[in-house]
Amino acid sequence: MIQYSSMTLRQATDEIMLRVRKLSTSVNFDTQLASMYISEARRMAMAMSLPFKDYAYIKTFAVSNGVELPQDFVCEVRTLLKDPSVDEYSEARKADVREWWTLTNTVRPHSFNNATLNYPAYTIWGSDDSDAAVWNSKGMVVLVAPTTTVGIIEYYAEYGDMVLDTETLNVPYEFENLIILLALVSIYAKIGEPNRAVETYKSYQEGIMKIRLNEIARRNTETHNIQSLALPVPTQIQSIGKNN
Amino acid sequence: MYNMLQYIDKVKTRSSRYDVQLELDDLTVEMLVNRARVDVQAATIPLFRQRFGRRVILGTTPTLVSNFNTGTVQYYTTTLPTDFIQDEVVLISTSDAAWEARKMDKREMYGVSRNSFNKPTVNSPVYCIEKDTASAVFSIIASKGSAGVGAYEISIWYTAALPYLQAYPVSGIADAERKMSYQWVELVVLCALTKCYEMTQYGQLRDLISADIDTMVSLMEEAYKTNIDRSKLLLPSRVSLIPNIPIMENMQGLQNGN
Repeated sequence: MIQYSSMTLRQATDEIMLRVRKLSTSVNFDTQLASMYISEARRMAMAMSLPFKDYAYIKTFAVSNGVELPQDFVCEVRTLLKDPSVDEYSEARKADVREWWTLTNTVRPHSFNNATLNYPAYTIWGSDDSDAAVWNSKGMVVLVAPTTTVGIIEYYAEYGDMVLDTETLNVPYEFENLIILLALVSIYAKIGEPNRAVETYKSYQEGIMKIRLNEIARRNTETHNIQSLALPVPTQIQSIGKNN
Repeated sequence: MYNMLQYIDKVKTRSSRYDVQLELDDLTVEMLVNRARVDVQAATIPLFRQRFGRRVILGTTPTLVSNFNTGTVQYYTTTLPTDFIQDEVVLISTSDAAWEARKMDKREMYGVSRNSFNKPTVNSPVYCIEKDTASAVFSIIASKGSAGVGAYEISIWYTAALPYLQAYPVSGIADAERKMSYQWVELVVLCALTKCYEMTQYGQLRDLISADIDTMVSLMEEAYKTNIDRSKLLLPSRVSLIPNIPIMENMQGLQNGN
């Protein structure tokens, strides 16, 4: 029995080369291209599955005021901040940039809603530039309030390009096959096999629909469990001795 | 993070290799990639405007607008950066603090200036943004009441247009893209590919790529909507353990019209 382990780039490239070998020539296809398409397919599969499999793509990043977010940042899940001198974290609220000044200024602060060490806030905006002629940062910047707080942001992360053939795909198990199929679709389209591309794309669509339906079924089961938890709780007060 | 040369490589590698050198030289592809970047930015601004955000302090000294002078209220104007698309927040500072300015419409400018309770002051400044058709850039008109607005006092948060990238600038180092998501970069490559196929008259290939672009944009929209919906969703752990509690009690003795 072969124990399952995450597929490497080399294994994925091999599989693709085997599956298209009769169609490709050195002019229109090589292993470098295969690995490029695998990287693209990995991102596409992630984008397809993010709405229902979001918990499989979460990363953590240390933040403080003015820190630039990494390139794989898609969207934040939550942010925890704390006063550096204490251990306890507080969950930060996300504020829109348009309400940022109102929440964070100390000159005319809100009486009830101001960002404090126990109730911090954060926002995300693009480059923070002193001069219009120069873009200081290449990415998005996190601003936290109070500005002394530090902490972590958990976010949905995209996959980057794979470089080494020993790198693993690191995708949920059920998506490995879909990545191969999706890479094949791109390759068939490139080497002028539109019919095969369409066929493979159909298989891919069927695969993703199956996973989606499984996920919906799982969520429904969760809801049932919660309902069963709720049922034993009495909804009417029954006085002892008055049942008759 | 790609630079322009890498963009060009990516587009050329993925396009059909026949006649590439003949019809699609580097500078043509560069032009198409830049055009694709503009298209993709326009399509994705509604989904994540913070990716295109900038915060800039205006360093030029604003000039007094003499014909807007209403006695106790004076307006100052200066130009905005050339990449300005949409303002989000304007802060106007005094010697000790920055104050968020209210945005006003030009049509209420006179009324705001004359109001007794609503007129601009040092700690309640106002601004509006406009562009003369004869001018290449937008201008901001701001007021702190009778006080002057100086250089480095206006700070603006705005949505910015992406700068054009060059493959072969004078410096010799190809311009780098901003730190955009991989999905966004992929969209630019696909969009540039469709333009290349249009030039080389590969209509079917262009349609194939267009379908990919549609899928990707709809996925981005779906992820965005899911995220919005999720923020409104009660998590399972927050669901009440006592569902279906009647909103109104049955009032004993008050039934049957009594």
